[in-house]
Amino acid sequence: MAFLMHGTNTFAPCVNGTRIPAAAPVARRCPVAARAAAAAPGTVNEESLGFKTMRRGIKEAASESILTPRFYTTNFEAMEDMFSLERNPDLPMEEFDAMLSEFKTDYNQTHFVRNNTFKKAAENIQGPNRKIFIEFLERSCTAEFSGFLLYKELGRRLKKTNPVVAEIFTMMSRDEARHAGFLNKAMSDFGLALDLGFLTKNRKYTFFEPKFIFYATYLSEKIGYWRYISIYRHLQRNPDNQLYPLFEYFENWCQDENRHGDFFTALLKSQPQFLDDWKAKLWSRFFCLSVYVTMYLNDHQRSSFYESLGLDTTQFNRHVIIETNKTTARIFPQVPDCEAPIFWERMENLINCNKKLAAIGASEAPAWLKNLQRLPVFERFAKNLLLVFLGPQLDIGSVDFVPEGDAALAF
Amino acid sequence: MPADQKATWYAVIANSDFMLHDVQNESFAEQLRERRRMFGETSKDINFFLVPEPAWLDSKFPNEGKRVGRPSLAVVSPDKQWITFMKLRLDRVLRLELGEMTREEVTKSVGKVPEYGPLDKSKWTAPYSPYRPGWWEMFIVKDQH
Repeated sequence: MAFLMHGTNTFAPCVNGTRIPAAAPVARRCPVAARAAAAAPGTVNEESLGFKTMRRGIKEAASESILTPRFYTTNFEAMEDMFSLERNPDLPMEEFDAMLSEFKTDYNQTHFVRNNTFKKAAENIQGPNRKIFIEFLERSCTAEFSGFLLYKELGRRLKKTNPVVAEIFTMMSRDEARHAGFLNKAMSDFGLALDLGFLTKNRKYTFFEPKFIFYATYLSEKIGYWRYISIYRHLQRNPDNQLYPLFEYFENWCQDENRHGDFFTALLKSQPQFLDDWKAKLWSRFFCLSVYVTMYLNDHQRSSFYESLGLDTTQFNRHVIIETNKTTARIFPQVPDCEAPIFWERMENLINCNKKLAAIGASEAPAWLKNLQRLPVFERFAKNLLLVFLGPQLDIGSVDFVPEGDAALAF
Repeated sequence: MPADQKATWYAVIANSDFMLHDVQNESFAEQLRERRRMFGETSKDINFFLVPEPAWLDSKFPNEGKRVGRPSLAVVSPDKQWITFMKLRLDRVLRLELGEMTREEVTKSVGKVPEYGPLDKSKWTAPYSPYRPGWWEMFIVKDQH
């Protein structure tokens, strides 16, 4: 998602705190805003790793780039109308009721309890691994917290027009708060937590139309599930690579992500206009590829992190992308064909261009020469990106949208 | 719930390969284990079961039965909302309202889960091994064969 364009910043009135009164007090109450304990004596000074701190033990958020997790905002009035039961008395509610019951079950109510192995494990992660670990935690925490803010606000805004959908959003923000809080406590094991209250007020918010929010959050939840479960299952088989106990929590944790994704399936099914025409197909494919390309480039830039866990970054990424794509094919009307060999060839070309750009950036050459050297690489990058977007695709989607009486449809 | 007490049951059903022998659906195993754990933690009686080749499919639903690949596998529960949720999750399954039945009737099988060997390694992309075949046994009511 982070790959996408900036929109107009209509969230401005919301971030000054007046339009999301819920966010601030909740953030104070919930574990999300837990401040880090100051670094324990004897641990390395985290500033020596090159991180800036706002104050002792509180990390300054990484600067935003095209590939960092973003905070999202949307057209809340349009959302209110879309799910208003008064305006849309025929809105199918059965799947929403089922989702609400599933969220109320709250499978992970007692799951996110830390044990005393965290601190010691964090102290044992030293050297270059320490920095990439902190970066991983920060990205994950920011992404979860971003979900918390968006879902919390949607829960508040939809309360009047559709209490069921509103309550689901509120329960999803409950899950995200747990996840973000857990990750932020993990960061404090490394002596560097995030000030999430400060982030809420000061980070830029990216505006997405509701339908783009649906495509993007669906994908980010489902890809989150596949990433976490793959890491978990790999480490279960390779306990020597279990560097930090956080990963032991991933099995139950990622079931939350999977359920959140299912809710967006229900949202999309309730709005067939986002699924049934050529525009919907184009956007579906576009969002899939944006998410996959972003992850592929991001993770390959940080392959040492996955290697430190004993994973092969390319294998891990391809598996996550192929399976996320198969999951997504159960709802999006069109997805890219990620099993076509040409797809991976082009993805590989993107990685190579990215590596070349990094090498040029790190070289000793004068700035004008660097820019000149970059030009043909940018061109190759753009060409391959375009080819990926124009590549083979599959028309697909939920069986519920197949016209009745299709005899070929077998289960 | 006593085995001979009637209730309104619901099901999702599909071919057994899709449900049990597909990398994509391994989350199905995680889901069932998670739900079983939660029922244990809250001291609730298990009310969801897997039924290989359910007897009711051909006897009560001959037309629907033709659309389901064999051998088939059903997930049954009197919890209507949970079955709706399972349909939403799995999508490529047929959702059925089974009507009033006893647990014994609803879990009666006329076949077994096929013997699954390991998944095809040439198609296996994951950095981990598949769940061991047979994980489903604990969800199948045993005294029905």
